[in-house]
Amino acid sequence: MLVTEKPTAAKKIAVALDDSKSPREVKKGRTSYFECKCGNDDLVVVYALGHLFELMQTEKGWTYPRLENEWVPKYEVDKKATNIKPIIALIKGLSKNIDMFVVATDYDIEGSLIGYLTLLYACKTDPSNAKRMRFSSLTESELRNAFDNLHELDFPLIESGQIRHEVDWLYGINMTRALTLAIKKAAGWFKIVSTGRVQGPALSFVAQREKEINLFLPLPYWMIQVVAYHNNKELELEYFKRHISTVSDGKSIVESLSDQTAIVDKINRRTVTQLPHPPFNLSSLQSEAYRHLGYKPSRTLDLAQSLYLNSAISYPRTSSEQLPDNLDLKAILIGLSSMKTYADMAVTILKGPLKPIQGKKTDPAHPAIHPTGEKPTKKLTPSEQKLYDLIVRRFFSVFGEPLVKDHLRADIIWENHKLYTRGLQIQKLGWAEYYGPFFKTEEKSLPDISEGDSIHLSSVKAEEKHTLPPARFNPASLLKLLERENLGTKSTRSRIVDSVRSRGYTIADRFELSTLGYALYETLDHYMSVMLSPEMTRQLEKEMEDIQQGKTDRDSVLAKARTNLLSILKEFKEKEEQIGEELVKGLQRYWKETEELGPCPKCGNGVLRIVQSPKTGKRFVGCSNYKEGVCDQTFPLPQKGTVTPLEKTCPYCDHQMIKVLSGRRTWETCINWTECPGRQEDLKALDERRSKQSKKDDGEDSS
Amino acid sequence: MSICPICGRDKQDKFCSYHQTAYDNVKEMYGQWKTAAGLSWEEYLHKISDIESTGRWIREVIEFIMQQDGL
Repeated sequence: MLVTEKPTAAKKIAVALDDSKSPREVKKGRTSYFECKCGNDDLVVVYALGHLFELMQTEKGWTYPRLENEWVPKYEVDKKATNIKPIIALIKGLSKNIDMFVVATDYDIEGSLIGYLTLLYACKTDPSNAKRMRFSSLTESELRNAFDNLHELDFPLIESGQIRHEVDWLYGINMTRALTLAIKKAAGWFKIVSTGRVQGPALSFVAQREKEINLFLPLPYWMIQVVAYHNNKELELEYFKRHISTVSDGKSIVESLSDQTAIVDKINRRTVTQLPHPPFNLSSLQSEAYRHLGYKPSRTLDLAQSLYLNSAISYPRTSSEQLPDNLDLKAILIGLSSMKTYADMAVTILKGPLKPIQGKKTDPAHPAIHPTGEKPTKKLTPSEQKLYDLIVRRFFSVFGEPLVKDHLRADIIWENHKLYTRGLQIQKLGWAEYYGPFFKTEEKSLPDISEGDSIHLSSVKAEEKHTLPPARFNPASLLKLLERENLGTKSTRSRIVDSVRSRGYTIADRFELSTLGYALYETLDHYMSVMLSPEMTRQLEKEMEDIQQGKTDRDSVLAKARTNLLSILKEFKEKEEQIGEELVKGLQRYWKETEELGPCPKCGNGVLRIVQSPKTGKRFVGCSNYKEGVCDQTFPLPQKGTVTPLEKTCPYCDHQMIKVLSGRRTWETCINWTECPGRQEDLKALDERRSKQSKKDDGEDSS
Repeated sequence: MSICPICGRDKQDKFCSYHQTAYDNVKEMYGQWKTAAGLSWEEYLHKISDIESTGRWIREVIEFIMQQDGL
């Protein structure tokens, strides 16, 4: 019996191992398995759906501390996971007459744990007798090779995965309950306020950045801007000092240079050679996909996983930036040469020495992300197609020659003042030719001037500028910081980044801290800073890695984590009252800021609030006097994005203004937007956009 | 009265810790603005609150100062 991670993977593996390439799919109610013949072996290929078993508390009571747990079928913890029950029953039934079990899940911590738990609790077999298939892509040749060269189970890897779940469960459950119960005791409300051992530090990074931005006071400086003429052609020149610190210095430079004739003193050329970027690992792929395609890291991971299951790319959860020697690069390129879009580039590369550039980072289990060269078995969605294109082009580019560019600079002088004009010329595109749309640089030629030429400085101005605050995090930059701080794993980081937002701690994708985020951060920072500290988490991460390397064992790490947690919870209990009060105050501020939109214009003494219809789930603005039957004033709201009240009224209709943040888009409107005389053009444009989108969607559906 | 007159958080000195830091920043940075741009205190406050990149707490403190001083 081969235990796989997903139905798609099960089918791929069954097809690859079946002698006739057509395994029999046996349907059993809502689930199925595959039967195939491989030489003298009769194989049964079953699938999980990710984790079939989860941790559940064994002691009674929704309180803390709760330290005891056990692995149980997922449907016992998550009542919605009804599809898991028949799968476990099927595996259990089929396991009775099996003489060898093979774990064929993804070769990483989670995959190894899924296989181990399935063997232990569904197959009811001793995992130490089972074998392991190790593969980095779902191509036929690699799967065959993995089946012909089976390994023992990697128990340190499994233990490391197991303890990661146990520690995350201990900290997540207990800390979240502590916060939630503190609020309940202080105000009698039941509002889940969650945190975790990585989520706490992630929130802390966002909050500290927000503090810097909120406390930012810009300083002035002046930039000298010069418009000059040479042979009747206009030139823009820059002053050699980019920042002039006082207005008087700026004025004096302007006075000295205005209407003077400067001389071209020197034309400098600096040639720069740039090697290709290394092959993608998950983190660099997520970063580049965010930069060029606007995909959030979690979306990139989902799309990459789908491409992997489609045999189009290698396993994406890798840290490696290297393509090992045993990888058949020639076969991959030959495969890509059969695809119309990539044929020319693949053929050109095949003529060369096939020596890819390698990065520094490694991963013992998987190579860098690369295309398999196989045509995807299912048609790719437009988003998958774009990500696939990025991966293929990056793969091509690692075989490319260096990019050569010339930085040009003309130095123009007048007395002791120096001015520059710059240009950039690409001498040889090299690898950038393969990277195509993902390589961005602006070539700019130097004006047609020679050393000794005279340049007339016709307009000289000192423009006031101001220093800028640090940028807010975006999903990609927060993920990078977590990676740099060694918090979480390559598989969990994107989920943690998403959770900071989905819990309401930040507003939209801009990672602007919400009032709720402030409330939690401030309270923890004041009373329980250890729950925000990256130190504790980093130490735990290290110990979990040590288990993987056999340097320590699960029991001692778990015992230490429990002792540490108990001391945190003891301290929390002592401060529970103050923490509860602080959180309640913060929540009140949060609700006031996010839900209240000022006095009702109809009844005068009610307050306008954002409410959600219990029937339709749609949100709208209603008056607080509605329940008393006094006022029925309502206003419709946009259904997508985060709505924040603004401290201003509409210049056209005098109603309250709001800010809507949806994805990367922000706009301001008034609550009376559907009736407001000043917003009819906007409404028309919105209708047009919607109709265009719906036509596009219909087109996609029919194709 | 022990709450910040700007945001309602607990007061440290004149304001909560955030607005107090913002207030100290506003006072401290005036010297640099005065040298660089030759502005009076009042001009400085108006200028800072007009700049888009000025932080939220700085802006709130300035608004408070201007209201208090009737500027």
